[in-house]
Amino acid sequence: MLKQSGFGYYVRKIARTWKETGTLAHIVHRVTGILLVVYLGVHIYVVTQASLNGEGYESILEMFRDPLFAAGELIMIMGGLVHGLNGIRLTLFDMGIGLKHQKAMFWAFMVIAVAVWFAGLAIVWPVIGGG
Amino acid sequence: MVKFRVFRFSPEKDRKPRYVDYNIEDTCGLTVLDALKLIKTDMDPSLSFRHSCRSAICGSCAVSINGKNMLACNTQVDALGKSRVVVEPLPGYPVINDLVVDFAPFFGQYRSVQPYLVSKTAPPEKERIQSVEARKKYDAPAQCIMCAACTTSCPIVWTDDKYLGPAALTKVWRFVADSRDDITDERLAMVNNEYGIWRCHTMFRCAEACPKEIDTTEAIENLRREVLKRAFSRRR
Repeated sequence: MLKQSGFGYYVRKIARTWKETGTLAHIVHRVTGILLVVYLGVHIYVVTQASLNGEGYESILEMFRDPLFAAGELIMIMGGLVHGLNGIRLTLFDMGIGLKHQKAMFWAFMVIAVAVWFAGLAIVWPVIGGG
Repeated sequence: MVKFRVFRFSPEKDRKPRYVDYNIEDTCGLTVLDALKLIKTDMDPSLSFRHSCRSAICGSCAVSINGKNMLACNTQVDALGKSRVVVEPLPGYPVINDLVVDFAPFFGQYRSVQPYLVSKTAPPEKERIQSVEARKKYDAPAQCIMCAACTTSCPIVWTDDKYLGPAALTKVWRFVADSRDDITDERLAMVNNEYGIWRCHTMFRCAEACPKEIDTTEAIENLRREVLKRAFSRRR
């Protein structure tokens, strides 16, 4: 018999059907979830270094001002917003709310994510870019 | 003319699956099952696929059509609106031959959830009476024809063979919602674990695949709420 299962099969199959809204939400949720876990690790490491090494603290702060780092931060903020808002969407389903409108809810939450991201950018930009 | 690109795999001959194209000139009024039968009778008698009732009742002809799980017998070729139709076996389960997959995992999970009414009261003289309202509660899940379109569309099923899957979980909800069933606590305990209701990632693929339009995702969510409701009421 020909096997049709496993992680590789999952990735290949899901890549073929990513346009389905529920599947897209799942992919976005997984990817942003992994990104946030990696970011959390890096964040804890950097903060620990800063607190342990008093002299290096200033240089770490300097690194934060690097445009590349700022861009990374902005991507992370988007990741956090998307993951959090889709998490709310999934929780609402668990509460029995909106099951019949899952597609519209996904796109509505994504619009909110983008809107909040731009609002955040307007606030943060003078600090990271303009300052 | 419609080109049918059909998944072929013979365990005796092939090491890998292959796709073979068959052209059908006139597809007017033809279902995908009719097309497969036409291919088998006129072009290639070696093609294997399951089918029986031709009226969306037996659930044996579910296949993947252009990437979506559907019943071949109630899918009109022209309604697909494509000049190329890709027919593949249901995903997730091992392929025995061409479009025929091994249903043993599906029925194994199905049997494990006690898919029958369990009543602790003595059998009545005639039948167990149920009000129309009480019957309505499980109208949708009672429509299940066990075609496995839902379970095989679930990516969690593809990666975790212990997961019960939407069909078995929907069956559990069908009996939890049935006023005549007396083992609700046992049923909920059966699915209240990482291989039951909590394994679902709410992708809605199962509900979208169901040819009987059963909201299987909703059934799983109903079970989750029922488990939580009982857990909280016990704590009070």
